[in-house]
Amino acid sequence: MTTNQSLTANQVVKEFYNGLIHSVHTVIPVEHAVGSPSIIKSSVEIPFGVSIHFTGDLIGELVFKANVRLFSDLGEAMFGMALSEEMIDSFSGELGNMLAGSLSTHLSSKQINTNISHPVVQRSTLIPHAQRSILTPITFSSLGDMEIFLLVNA
Amino acid sequence: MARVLITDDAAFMRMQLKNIFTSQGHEVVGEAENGQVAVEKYKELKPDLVSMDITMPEMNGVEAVKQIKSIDPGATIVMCSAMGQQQMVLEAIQAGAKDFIVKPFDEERIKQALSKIF
Repeated sequence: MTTNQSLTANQVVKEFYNGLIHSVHTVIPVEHAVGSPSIIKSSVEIPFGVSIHFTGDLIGELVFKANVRLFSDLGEAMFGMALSEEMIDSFSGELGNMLAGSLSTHLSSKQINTNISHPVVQRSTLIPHAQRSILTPITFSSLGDMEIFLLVNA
Repeated sequence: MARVLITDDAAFMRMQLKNIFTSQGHEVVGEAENGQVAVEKYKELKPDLVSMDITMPEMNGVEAVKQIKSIDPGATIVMCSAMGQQQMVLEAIQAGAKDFIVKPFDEERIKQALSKIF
C-alpha cells in the first residue's frame, strides 16, 4: 500500500471505511443499516456483484456483492422505474461506479488522493484472498443484504 | 432545442440521460460508450451539446474533452461523472467543459445546467 506523507496505512484504511459508509448514505436513498466490519482471511466467492479498482494513495479493490434482485430493486428505488433484464448489469456497474466515485470524492476532502477504474460486473467469480480484506455488510430495509469488500494488496 | 451527443460507458446511464434530455425538448442525435467514440461522433454529428462521463474504457472523458476542443474550440461539453473531487472538476473545466454534474443527479440538475448554457 502506498500512502500520502501525513497518514499511516491504517489511517488510510480507516478513512476508506468511513468514506464507504458515507457514500452508501449519499448515493442510495433507501433506508439501511450498516453492520460491523470484519476481517476476511479467505478468497471471496461472488455469484453476482461489481468490482472496481482503486489507485493512488491506496491501491486496492472494492467489491459489491448482492443478488441480482437487490441491484434491480435499488435501481427501481433510485430511478423510479423497473429495470429490464438487459439493463440490470449496466445499472449494477453504474451503482458501483457512483459509490466508488463518491468514496473517491470523500477521500479527497481528507487529503487522500485516489482514482478509480471503470466497473466490472462479476458473475460466479472467485476473488483471491488479499493481504487485507475487510467485509462490511449493509442491510437495505425490506429489500435485502449487500456485502462490500475492501481488498488491499499492495 | 439542442442536438445532444451522450457519452457514458453505462447503457443504463445513457438511457437515463436520453429520457431526461428528450423530456426537456432536446434531441439526442448520438450516443458514445467511450471518449474515443465520442470524438469520432462529434466530428460526424456536430452536436450543440455533449454530455461526458469521465471514467470510461479506451479514452477517459477529460482526454475526450481536450480532443473535441482541439477540433472545435466552440464545442459545448458538460461533464456527468461520479468523480466529484475538486481536482477532477478543475481539470475538466480547464480542458474546456462548461459545467460539471456529479452522479447521481436528477432531472432538475440537468435542467439547471442547460439553462445556464442555452
